This record gives sequence, structure tokens and C-alpha cells, in this order.
Amino acid sequence: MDFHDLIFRNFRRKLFSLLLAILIWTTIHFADQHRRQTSTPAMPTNSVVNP
Amino acid sequence: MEILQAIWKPAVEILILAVGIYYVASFVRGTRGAAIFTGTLVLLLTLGLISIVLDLQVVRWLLGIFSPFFAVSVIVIFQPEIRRMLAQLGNLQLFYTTHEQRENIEVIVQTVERLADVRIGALIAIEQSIQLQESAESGIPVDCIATPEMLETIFFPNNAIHDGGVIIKGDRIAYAACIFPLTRRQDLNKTLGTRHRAAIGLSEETDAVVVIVSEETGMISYTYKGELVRGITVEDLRAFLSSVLLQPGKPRNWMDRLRALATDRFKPGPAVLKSTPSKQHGLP
Repeated sequence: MDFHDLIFRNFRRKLFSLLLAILIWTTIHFADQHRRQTSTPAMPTNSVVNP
Repeated sequence: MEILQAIWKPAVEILILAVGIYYVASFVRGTRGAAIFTGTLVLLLTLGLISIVLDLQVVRWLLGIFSPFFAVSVIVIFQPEIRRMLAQLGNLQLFYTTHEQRENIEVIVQTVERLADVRIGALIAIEQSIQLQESAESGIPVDCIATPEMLETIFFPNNAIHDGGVIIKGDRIAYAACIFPLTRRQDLNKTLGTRHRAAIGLSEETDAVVVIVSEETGMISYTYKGELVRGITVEDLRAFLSSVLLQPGKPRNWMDRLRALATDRFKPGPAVLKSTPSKQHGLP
């Protein structure tokens, strides 16, 4: 399989897969960001243990 | 440089996702659930993205509730395809030698040629890695050596087992008069009869190669992985069967590659070098 085949064979299916992958990635990325923003920030722990 | 560092990880992730989606899309292409699955997936993702960007809590809650149902429905809709995919992953092909398969191909080609000449309908399924047990249960056990004469006898009109399909396992005719599952595809030519629809149905659910001879026209066709190729010559059929069942020099999976590596390593070199054929048979 040469480079031309790698890119242009079933080009529409490849383009569709790429667009769908971008859509999935964006959705998960934004969902993750949203979850981090809305979740309560954890209490900062003091690394120095008071004896 | 900083932009490149920020971009490469998402780019790699998207590329891996895209390759996975491409192979899944190639696998389910042409099946009855493909369009439904793609449409629903795109709809769910778009809704999910919109609900996150616009902070639509109710929609997001609903999507969270329905996502598990979607996952289960995917398994139900694509059960035959998943089964075929898993079977291909574990496909070992240990049982039939190349010599046996070559003889089989000749038997099938000769049978089909004779039946097409006299316009006797035939439906022959060649079992590969997925067992055709479900279809076999509806048929009658024959269990004899596959010969053109025996196959012609089975398909000869008005005999008790001429209706239905024949299942060939290795070099034997295992079952006759089998009822294959009909395809539910709507985009097929309306002139296609039950025999062709059954052949497509079986090839959608399994990795069997199904050869059909039309009773009306004597036309030879085959189906493989849900795709029907009609009106081929016996030479085309021989080339196709050889490419699928023999696959010279083309390992099917990692196990075959390992085996090929091992045999290449320990095989003695040829005494006389043969010139390679300039032209190979192409698929129709």
C-alpha cells in the first residue's frame, strides 16, 4: 500500500472517522473540564505534620 | 514549540480514536444496524457537547441515564458482527491443509460450472472459522467426501434434499437442505430471490463463503462478509476462492505470521528457482 492509497482509499470513511473522533474527543475533554470546574476543590493538606 | 507540546497529545489521542472508528466502521459497513448506530452515536455526542457548552443540566442528566442503554443496544444490534470479529481474532485455521482446500475449490468450481450449464439452482456454504451450527441444525447430516457428482445429486430437482443449502466442512459435505438466515437489508435488488438473500444473510453473520447458482438464469454468484458479487465466470470464482481459502503468502493474523516466520526460517531453500508469474488473478 503506497502513500496515496493510505490517504485516499476509502477517503470519505476516513474523513468521517476523523471527524467523529474529534467530536468524541472534544465531548469527553469538555465534560472532564466541566466536571473539574463544578466539583468541590479538595481541602489543601498540610504536608508538615504537627507533632 | 509550546503549541506543539500542547497539541501532540490530543492529536495522538484523536488519531488513535479515528483509526479505531475507521476499522469498526469498515467492519459494520453494509450491515443492517450500521446506519442506526452511526446516527444515534452522532446525535448523542452532539447533544452531549451542546449540553456541556451551554450547561444544560437536564439534557446532561438524561444523557447520563440513557448512555448505558445505548451501550447494551450496541451489543444487541451488532451481536453477529461482534461474534464474527471475535472469531476472526482467534482464527487459527489449523485444521484444513492448503492441499485439501485446493481440492475443495476444484470440486466447487466443477460443480458450479455443471449446474450453471443445466440451470439447476444451488447454494453452497464453505465453513471457515465460525461454525455454521445454527444453520446445520435445520438441515440433514450427510457427512460424505465432497465430489462434484455428490453435490449435483443433492441439488438435482425434486429429490428430497435439493431445497436449501449445503454446508461444506473441510473436504466433506457436512449437511444438506439447510435453511440459512435471510438478510434484512432493504437496499438489495428486488429481483433477488430467497436463495441469494439467504446467502447474503449467512455471510453477514459468519465468515463463510457462499456460492450461488441461479435456477432461473444459471448465473454464478458468491457472497462473502455480507457482499454479493453476481454474474461471475468460473475463472473468477476459482480466483476468488483461492484468494480467500488459500491466501498464498498472505498471513491472516499474528498467529499465522508467527507460523509463517517459523516455517520460513526452517524451510530449506528451493532447489530450482521458479520465475514468478507476471500477472495474478484479480478479484472480480
